[in-house]
Amino acid sequence: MRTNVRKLSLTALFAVIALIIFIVEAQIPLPVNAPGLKLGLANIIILFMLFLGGMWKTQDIFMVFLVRVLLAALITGNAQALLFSFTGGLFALLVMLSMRTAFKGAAIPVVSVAGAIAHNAGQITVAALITSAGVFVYLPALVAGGIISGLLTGFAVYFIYKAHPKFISYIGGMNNDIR
Amino acid sequence: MKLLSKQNIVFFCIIGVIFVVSVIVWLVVSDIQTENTTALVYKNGVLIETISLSAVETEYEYAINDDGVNVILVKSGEIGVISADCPTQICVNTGFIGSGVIPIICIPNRLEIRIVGGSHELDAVAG
Repeated sequence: MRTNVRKLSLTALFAVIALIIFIVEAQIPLPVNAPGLKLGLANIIILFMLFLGGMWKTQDIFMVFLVRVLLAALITGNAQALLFSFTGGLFALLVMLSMRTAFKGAAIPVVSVAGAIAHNAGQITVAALITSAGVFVYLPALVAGGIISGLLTGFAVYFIYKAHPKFISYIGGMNNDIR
Repeated sequence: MKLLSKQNIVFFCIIGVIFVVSVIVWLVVSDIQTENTTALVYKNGVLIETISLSAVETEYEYAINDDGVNVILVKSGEIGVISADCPTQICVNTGFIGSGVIPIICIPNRLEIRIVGGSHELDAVAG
């Protein structure tokens, strides 16, 4: 089997872009004070890959997610943060994958919001396991925050797709559906 | 345009409803008041301190030093974390709590300060 060099290098590039977004995002202070709440801009890359057609498969997305989360943990040196970002990211990825499969016409922002809520739900579950079930009082704030950040990242990806259809078909291969 | 298909409009409406409901629930929850409050300080999930906030007359501070540093300031009717060595500083930014159900949480140091109402004590006094 031939190794697809273009695909391999693009996958590595995606992982690095996700990592850079993650590092930049960590510098942005949030006006809301709730444990686990963040913009989730790194999800832009996962979303972007989810809606790339052609050669992009679930395992490629999962690989980018794993590389991003592990490298981020190495850079920050925070093993506990790894537990949070891994669980949250995994929840988000699974929900977004099933949303995309179950609702063929679901728009990118809709899938993004579902992913963001799943991410925050996953994180607060880890927080509850580490501290106590009392942290669940933050759930409504995290759901509302997830909707806002999900819409932000979702529309960011949607507009990238809309604005650069040629670029998308170049890196995505065939069968790109922009929704 | 696919973004505004019937299915997606339904999805956006559902998202809108969930948003409004969670904001309302959050506003209601953060507005709950308790009286004659007691602060429970949990470290690693274990209750290490019970402070009756209404009984505090002079404010004092103390530090929890094992497995991360959190400096707690106890005032009459209020408790808060004034400094911590965690990267997020969420516990410090939460400020002082004295009534209500929103706890102070420091996840990196596994510290939690919860407020419980002392209605039983009140009943005892009244009775």
